[in-house]
Amino acid sequence: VNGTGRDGFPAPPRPAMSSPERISAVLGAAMGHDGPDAAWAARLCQVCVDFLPVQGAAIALMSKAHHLQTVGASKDAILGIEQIQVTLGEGPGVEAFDSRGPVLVPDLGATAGSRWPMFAAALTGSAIGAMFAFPLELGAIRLGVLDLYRHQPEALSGPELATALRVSQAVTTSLLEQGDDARFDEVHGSWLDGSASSREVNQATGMVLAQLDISIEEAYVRLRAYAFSHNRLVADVAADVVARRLRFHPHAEKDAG
Amino acid sequence: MHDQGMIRQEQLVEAFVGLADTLVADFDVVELLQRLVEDCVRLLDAAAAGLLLADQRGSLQVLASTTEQARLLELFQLEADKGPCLACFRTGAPVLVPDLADHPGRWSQFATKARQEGFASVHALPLRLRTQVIGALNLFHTHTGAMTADDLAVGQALADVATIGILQQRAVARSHALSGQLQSALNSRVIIEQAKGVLAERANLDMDEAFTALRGFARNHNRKLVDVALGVIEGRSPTPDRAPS
Repeated sequence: VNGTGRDGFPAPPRPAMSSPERISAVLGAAMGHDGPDAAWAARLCQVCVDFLPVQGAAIALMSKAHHLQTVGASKDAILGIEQIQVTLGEGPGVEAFDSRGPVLVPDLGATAGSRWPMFAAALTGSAIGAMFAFPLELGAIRLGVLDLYRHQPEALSGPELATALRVSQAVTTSLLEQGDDARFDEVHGSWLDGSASSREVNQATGMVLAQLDISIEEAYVRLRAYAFSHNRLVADVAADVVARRLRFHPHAEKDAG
Repeated sequence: MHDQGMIRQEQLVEAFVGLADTLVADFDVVELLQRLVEDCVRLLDAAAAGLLLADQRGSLQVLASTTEQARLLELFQLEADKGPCLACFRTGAPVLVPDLADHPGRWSQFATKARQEGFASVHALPLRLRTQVIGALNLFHTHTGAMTADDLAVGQALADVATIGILQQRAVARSHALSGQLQSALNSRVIIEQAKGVLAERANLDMDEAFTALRGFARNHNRKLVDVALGVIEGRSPTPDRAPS
């Protein structure tokens, strides 16, 4: 539905709300192959603003010290609010990250004061009416959070929420693929699905964690790196790990089967 | 003297009271769904049961099943991609396949594989919230024949409990939060798979044993399965049944 937005702001063209393929294509182009820097984050946040009835978006990622750090936003004002949230350590995005689930606040004015008093105070006069926060995660692997900001205090519809979740999963996938040459479409279709092979990838990730005594994030990267350096599918390598045909050894440059 | 009907009624009451007991504040949705598929097998004389939920892309994913065996999970997934489960999800109505041998054309790949695994019939029941279908409950039997109307009613009631459980997980049953709830539930499943891997490696268990160990530990310590799984992954909690290596 185009024309004037329900919230009184001019509605951006959103022809692809019902087309996951188009969103994937646009996201793929926005992600490119560069790292998670401010320009990268700003491009992805712009996709959110283009495709969803939100007026701002921001991405914060987990630092080595397990703290959230703002990476980028769709515009400077949003970047400022996001930085306040991360600095205060409270707000919907921080809660989504900590609780490992989306935090949807359709009416920030009604709830923020009691849930996040310092953040609510900082928002005064900012014209933010609603916030929707989505953790960037794959199981126990936590990368950060995607925060969407809306002027009007209004919920996202079911299809809009589905789009937001799709974007957050795509961003997660992209972050997990950093350094690979894999095409976005390829990975998007196969990595986060529930097929038996992705179950094995998740199980293998846990096994590699135990074999090398490393974090779950690092284990996932090691598993993928092995597959790419041996020109194999990660699902096949995972199957070998789960079947105990392949082990990862600490201090070994080449893992032996 | 108890007749079959009485025994069954007692079993049913026991099952639903047990399920109701888990629906307390901040309960463990994965554990609830696991109990539910196990109740299905026990009460409905099924050989295997699986509960599948739709993700935000509309693909169905196995969230709970009575088996962790990879080849049976593949069968559930095949049913979800190209079988009765998908038809049930799309129409929101039960799909009954009393004899898998009678469906050579429709779902042929699924029917062939299901029969190879020794199953003769399959029933898929929708997980419905008002007009929205969020997933399906699947029951496999080793004998042919449609489930009785009574059994189907029990199966549907169990499916409804699952829906309520998933949606009430954070006391947010409003439809706008639905996808978020499903997302959290599906991510919990990924966490459990990762933890199974850690445990399988550390304690030299197969995946089925690893799951049983995780679950037993969670029950004995009155903790959520997903929290125990996170503890195992992050090395925060003592690993259940950790064997000296």
